[in-house]
Amino acid sequence: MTDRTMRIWGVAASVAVAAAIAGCGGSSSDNASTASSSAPANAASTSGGGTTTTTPTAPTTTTGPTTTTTGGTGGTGGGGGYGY
Amino acid sequence: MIAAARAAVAVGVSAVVLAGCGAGGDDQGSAHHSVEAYLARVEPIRLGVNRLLDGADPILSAYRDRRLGPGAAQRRMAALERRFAAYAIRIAALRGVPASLRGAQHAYAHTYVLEDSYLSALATALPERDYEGLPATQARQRAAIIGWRIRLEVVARRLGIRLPADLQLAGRGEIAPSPLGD
Repeated sequence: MTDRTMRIWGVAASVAVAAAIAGCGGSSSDNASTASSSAPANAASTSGGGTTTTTPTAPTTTTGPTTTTTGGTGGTGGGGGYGY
Repeated sequence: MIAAARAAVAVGVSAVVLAGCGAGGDDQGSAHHSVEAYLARVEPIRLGVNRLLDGADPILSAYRDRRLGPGAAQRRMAALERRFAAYAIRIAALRGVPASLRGAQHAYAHTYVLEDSYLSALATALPERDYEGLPATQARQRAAIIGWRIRLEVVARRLGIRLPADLQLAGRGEIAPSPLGD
């Protein structure tokens, strides 16, 4: 039924949500959620030239866990019970 | 058609998640307290609804197996729907929702309206076993519930709040009781 099909759609939805969270500006204390979003901006605006080598490293590391966490959110099956 | 539905779900979830973006101006301490208080009010409703919906399956399976007559099945489902409606009112009437969660909470509360509508239609459809006209809103409901949970996770992580483990079921389990048992 539609419900079952939705579990498959959940993967597509999770990818979109990961992108949504990545573009969401959170508070400065939130390393996990903000680093991925603010990093590209930092790379473009804060460093003049010398720090260019360092900047790309941080966002790549931080973005990984964020995406992984979010991706798992919609993909897992219900395992019985209702999902409210 | 399926691609369009996928896109709609993705956009819907993203919209809910993004709805709370930029609301980070609260004082950290009061925001922490506010979110914990919100959780304390929402969890009894959410858990109660899941338990209530668990009760729909025995009614539907008994009716499917002819162990329950149409009248009894309809009465029981209608009673269940009325109890669900009480939860729908409680979630809609929730006060003191943190600013960072208002958009997601609004969408989450609306899923209760859709569910109540489905349950009401289901109770009506049972005697004739005419299920073709049941509202097909599960995709929207699931997207909104997932969006709510993810938004909650983002906010809780920012504030260092530990969420209940079973919150992970939100949006993952069944959404609407199926009269066909699938």
